[in-house]
Amino acid sequence: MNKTLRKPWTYVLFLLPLLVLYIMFFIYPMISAAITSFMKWNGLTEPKFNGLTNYKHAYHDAKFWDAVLNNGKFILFSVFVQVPIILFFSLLISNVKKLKGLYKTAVFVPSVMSTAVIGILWSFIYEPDIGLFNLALTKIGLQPVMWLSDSQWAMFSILITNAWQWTGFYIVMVLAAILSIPREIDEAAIVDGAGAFTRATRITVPLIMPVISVVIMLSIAGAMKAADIIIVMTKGGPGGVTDVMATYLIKYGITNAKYGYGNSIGVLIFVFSLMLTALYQVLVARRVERVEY
Amino acid sequence: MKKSLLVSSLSLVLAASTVLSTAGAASKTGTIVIRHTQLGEAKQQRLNILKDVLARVSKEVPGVKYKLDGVDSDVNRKEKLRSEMVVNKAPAIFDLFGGSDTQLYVEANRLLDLTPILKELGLSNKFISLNEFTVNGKIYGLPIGGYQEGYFYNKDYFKAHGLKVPTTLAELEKIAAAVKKDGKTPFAQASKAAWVPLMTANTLWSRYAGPDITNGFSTGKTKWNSAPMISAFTKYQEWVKKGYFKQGELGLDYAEQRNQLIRGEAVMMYDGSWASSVFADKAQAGDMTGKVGYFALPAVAGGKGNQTYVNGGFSNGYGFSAKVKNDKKQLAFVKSFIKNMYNDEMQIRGLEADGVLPSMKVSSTKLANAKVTPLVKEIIAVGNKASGAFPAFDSLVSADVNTALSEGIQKLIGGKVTPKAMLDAVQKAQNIANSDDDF
Repeated sequence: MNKTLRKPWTYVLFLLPLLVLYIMFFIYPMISAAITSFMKWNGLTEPKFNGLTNYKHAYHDAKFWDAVLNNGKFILFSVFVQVPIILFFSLLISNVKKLKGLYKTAVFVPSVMSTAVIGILWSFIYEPDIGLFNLALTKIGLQPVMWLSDSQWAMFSILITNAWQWTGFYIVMVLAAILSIPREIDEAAIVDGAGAFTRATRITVPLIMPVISVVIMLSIAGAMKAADIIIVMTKGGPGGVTDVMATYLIKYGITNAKYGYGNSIGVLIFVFSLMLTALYQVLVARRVERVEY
Repeated sequence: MKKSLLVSSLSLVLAASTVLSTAGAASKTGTIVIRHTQLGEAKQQRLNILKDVLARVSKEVPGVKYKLDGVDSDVNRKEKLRSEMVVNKAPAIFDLFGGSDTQLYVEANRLLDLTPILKELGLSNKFISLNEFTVNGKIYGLPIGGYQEGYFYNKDYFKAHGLKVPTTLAELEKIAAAVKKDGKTPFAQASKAAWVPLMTANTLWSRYAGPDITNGFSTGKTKWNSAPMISAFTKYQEWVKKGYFKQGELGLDYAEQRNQLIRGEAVMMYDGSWASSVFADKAQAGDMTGKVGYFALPAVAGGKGNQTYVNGGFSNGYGFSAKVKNDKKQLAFVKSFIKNMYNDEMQIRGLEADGVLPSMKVSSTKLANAKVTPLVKEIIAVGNKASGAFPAFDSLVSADVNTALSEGIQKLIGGKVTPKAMLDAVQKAQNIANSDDDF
């Protein structure tokens, strides 16, 4: 058996099914999308080469840049609001003595629910008349807010819902990292007279930085491909103010039957994601040292 | 393990899985998929009709299995069917809109030419109008019913407040002002999907700019940003500013619109005749059952063209995949489907159970004897009184113009754009669609 596995063609044979699937569902669509992104194509008739027209249109379309900006908002909200909340709750739960399992399950539940269910659920919470938030606001004498229909609030409302869905998933990840830190390190710090805040910021957080880095990376990836929650809650509305790149692609590519243009947007999403990932790797991820206890 | 044994066993697994997957795919071709949009309580009757038709078809064409595939109408029309058409994997039978949708699919040879089938079944002259499904003289779809759009209103409220059905737009606005003063919402509306507010807008612009204006947009003969069009949308925005629609309605789903009327929160609602069945069903309409009336959007003083035209037509029905003609059994199934779905019995049943106006020339005796609700009678009466009908704008303009208009109306309701700026943007999209610079 060992002799067999030393033969290179055996590896090829084992890798072949995966390789075929990878080429079929990733490499081929990517190349085909890149090619058709230079074409005028309604998806039904013969595509015609139109050079950089699709990209030029995207460049000059303010609505596309609004959508890019909304992806940016997703990323910024994830990194600067969601991640600190994740850290705070992870630290809190890790120090709970009783019912730790219950807390872990409770925060994890939203991430196993489907986005459609969450979108509908939160639409009830945001309902203008009988929604939870507006009932609370009117109870304390404030004006109700048109959460999903006011262009000033719609994006923010979606960000909150998205954060609610995924925070629990990341908390469980961070919690696992916190709980894997050897107890002795914490105990030594207590003996040295370090308080809870100092231990959290000087010991726990630095030790779990690799996991936090992964959480940030996953948040960025999630933000770049966000679409489902928006489709369920606002359909990109009102008037396109909650469109992100993916919903823009659906609207202007599929709905408008401009598949060439849609593919050019797909390529741009790919390029932007690649650039962001590279930037993050160079600026942040590489600086996070590997932690060994 | 011997090398040869490992290789031969692996090859066997690969070969077996390939054969099995091919066999699975082959058995799937025997199942006909029927894509419908009859989802939810309000469309239950229509789903029942479809199921009964399919039961009859199964008896006539034994051995063909079928599967119902229900999808939301808007999602099917704008996303799912469109994507399926691209990869040429549309179901054998599907919900189809006439006009620009049908035209697009015909250009790509995706739709079955129904002309010879209709001839064979003796149905060629049985439909009131197949214009929206006809391309180059051939028929590619069959409307399941007709529709008409107008105002549904709370009859009790009108009576209690001494209000009369308006005959001019000025009278309608007077009623709206009185309703608003009374603390109610004059017009029920839920605009999360832009086609909902565009129903009112479509008729309003046809009153101001003439019922034929929409026909000219794609040829460049008429302009979106012409003066009468701006007047129509200015009027619309005036209603928004006066609070004639519920605050926050931009975030509400279409179904919420009728709930505003049912709850008594709103007094009037602009909607299609398809909504009438809700007001005949106690489970859905509650205390409002049988208490809803109907009138057309009234005439605009100084408006262009005939002011009695209604927004109506025969734009939604079933289409069939062109691939069907290559499979004898599937073709037999489709023929039987058309025969059993498109006949006097089903048309009357649709009218009686669901208020769907007939799309076929049903015998006048049968029509007169049909047990329809007073609301449906009112809708038919309004249609009979009209001098003609104009189709909904979305069957006449391309998808990108529709998207620009959809974004525009939501921005207009949100107060983010002026009518002129909105219509300029729509005209810009129309210019691109009309020109060779289209991308």
